[in-house]
Amino acid sequence: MSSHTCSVATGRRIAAVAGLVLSAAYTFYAWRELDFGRWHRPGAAIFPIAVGIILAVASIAILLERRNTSNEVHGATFTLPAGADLRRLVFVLGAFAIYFVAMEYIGHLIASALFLFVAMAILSDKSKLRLALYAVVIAGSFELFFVRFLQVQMPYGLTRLF
Amino acid sequence: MTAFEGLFYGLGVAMTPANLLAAFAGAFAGTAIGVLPGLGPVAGVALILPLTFSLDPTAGLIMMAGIFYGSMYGGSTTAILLNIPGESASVVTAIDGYKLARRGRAGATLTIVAVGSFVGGTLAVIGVMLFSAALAKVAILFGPADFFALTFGGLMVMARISGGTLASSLLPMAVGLALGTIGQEAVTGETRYTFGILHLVEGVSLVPIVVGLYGLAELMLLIEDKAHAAARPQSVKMRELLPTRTEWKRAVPSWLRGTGLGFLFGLVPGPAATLSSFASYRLEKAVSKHADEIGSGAIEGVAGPEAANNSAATASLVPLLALGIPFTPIAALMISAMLVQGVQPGPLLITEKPEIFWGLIASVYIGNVMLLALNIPMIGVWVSLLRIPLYLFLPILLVLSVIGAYSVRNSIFDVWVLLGAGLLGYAFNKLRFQLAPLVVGLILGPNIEKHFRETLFLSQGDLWAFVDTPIAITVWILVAGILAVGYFARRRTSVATAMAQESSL
Repeated sequence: MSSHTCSVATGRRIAAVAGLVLSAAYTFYAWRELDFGRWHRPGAAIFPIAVGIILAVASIAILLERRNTSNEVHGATFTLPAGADLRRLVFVLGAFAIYFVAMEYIGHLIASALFLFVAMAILSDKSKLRLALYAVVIAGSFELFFVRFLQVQMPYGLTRLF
Repeated sequence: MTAFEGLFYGLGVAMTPANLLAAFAGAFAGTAIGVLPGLGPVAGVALILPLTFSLDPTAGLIMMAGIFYGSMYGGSTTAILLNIPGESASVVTAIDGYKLARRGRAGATLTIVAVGSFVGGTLAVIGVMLFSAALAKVAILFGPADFFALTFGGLMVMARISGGTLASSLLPMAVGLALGTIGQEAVTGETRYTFGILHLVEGVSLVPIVVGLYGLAELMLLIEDKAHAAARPQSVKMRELLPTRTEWKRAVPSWLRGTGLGFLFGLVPGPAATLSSFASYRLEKAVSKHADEIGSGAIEGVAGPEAANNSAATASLVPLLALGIPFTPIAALMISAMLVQGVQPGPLLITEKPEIFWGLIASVYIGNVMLLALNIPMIGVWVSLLRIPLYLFLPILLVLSVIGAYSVRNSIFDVWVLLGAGLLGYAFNKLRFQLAPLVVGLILGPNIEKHFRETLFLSQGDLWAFVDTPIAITVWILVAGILAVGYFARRRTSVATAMAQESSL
């Protein structure tokens, strides 16, 4: 397994900065766009402002965490995938995102079969014919169980024509 | 209706063919979810949530509860056979369970675990039955300030005891609360943070968030680390399932201690099942006659924690049923299912919908019997599930997660939310942030805001109204106490570590 080793403390600080930016934008929106009301008739802005403050406090608390304490409680490092592991993850997630988009146009049944085939091909080196067969059987079973039997509404796309 | 009359009424409800089928389907699916890595109890319940909408509300909730405790049973199987806990509450089980399996006692250990889970779950239901009914009667008298103290105070306690530093839970909790403010707010109907996106007017759906955080994020970790795929369990034969007389004798006291401890943990907001299993392990190490063996493969090390986590999981139904307040992600999902079905959770549930209240409690008894029957004779089936190659079940689970996320509101937007939540969950896992406070914050946020504003309305803006009732005062004192104890305990540990480091220099 190939991977990059990263510092947890640094990663948490980056997350804390993102949290601070989010809290500032979130609170600013509440301040500008929402009604404050009065203490006896509080408006829609009061609670979001309180939440924004909590988010800012939590982010600052993480920024102020001592590296030693952080290492002790959360561990010093974490790994991120690299090389073949990273490629596998990115390809599966990419196929997953394309699957959502395709679902609306070609329907859930066909999109699922295609996604299953691609994902299985990325994750295994078995024969493509066998994987295609698995993909069709699994997608068909899902269609029968969820869409036909349990009446779950999924996008029809092209399959509506048939 | 007394608690026992209620139980008999509930048994009548739970024994209808439809509800029995729901309990069986839930228990079966739950065990499979617990056994398979990559899909824990929370994601499992979230995936099944949209399917329960087509069922009767009682059957839907019974099925969800079945998945919940079924996955608690199933999670220990991988912990014992592969040293890979199926869910966090089984982490402790892996320590001694895997060592027992290596010594050829896998079958007997699985039986001890299954019976222990049955004992924990069944005895805890008695507590749930008595506590929930009594608490619901008292809770009818609660005002908005009391509910504000319970919900916000409970969330703070949960953040404190969820693990890691307080900030590790506060940040996700605030993100959850912020997500809960998106959409049309309940008091004046004003829309917030929608940025013109129509899908956001109804708010952020809980299901894609939960499936993304707990399901997709976990699947991403499995995809990047194919080492998991190499692990293959040994087969377990029927004749190996019977524990020896000594093993039975050693397990009984641990089951009872674990059950009691687990029940108490289940009443407190937070990851009760996980915390109780760790606490039970420590208790066994402190009081067991065979304490010196714990850690190197002792039956007490699996019997106590397994009884504790099932007892805690069952006891966590108390705040859900009696107060309508969810303190765990699964309870949040159950509340969400109730709301979609038009059932108002809260203290009036016992009088307005007794079939749901008592039917759910009675179904836990029945479900535990089913699980015992499913787990011991069918252990071979569960073990064979572990042999399904990763390349098959990972794509299947990904497609299932899309079906679950899409079908709640028939919205492709929710599927993108699923992907976003998955990426967030992956990052939070890597950076050791807690996920549960985010989910509970999202579901409790609108309630906290409602009680907060109601209190101000009713008191004409008097801030003292938040600490004006005996219940609110008691809750805030308890919350302050728990936060203070947590702070000082962490400080003491830090000082002790620093002193140890200094003396070693």
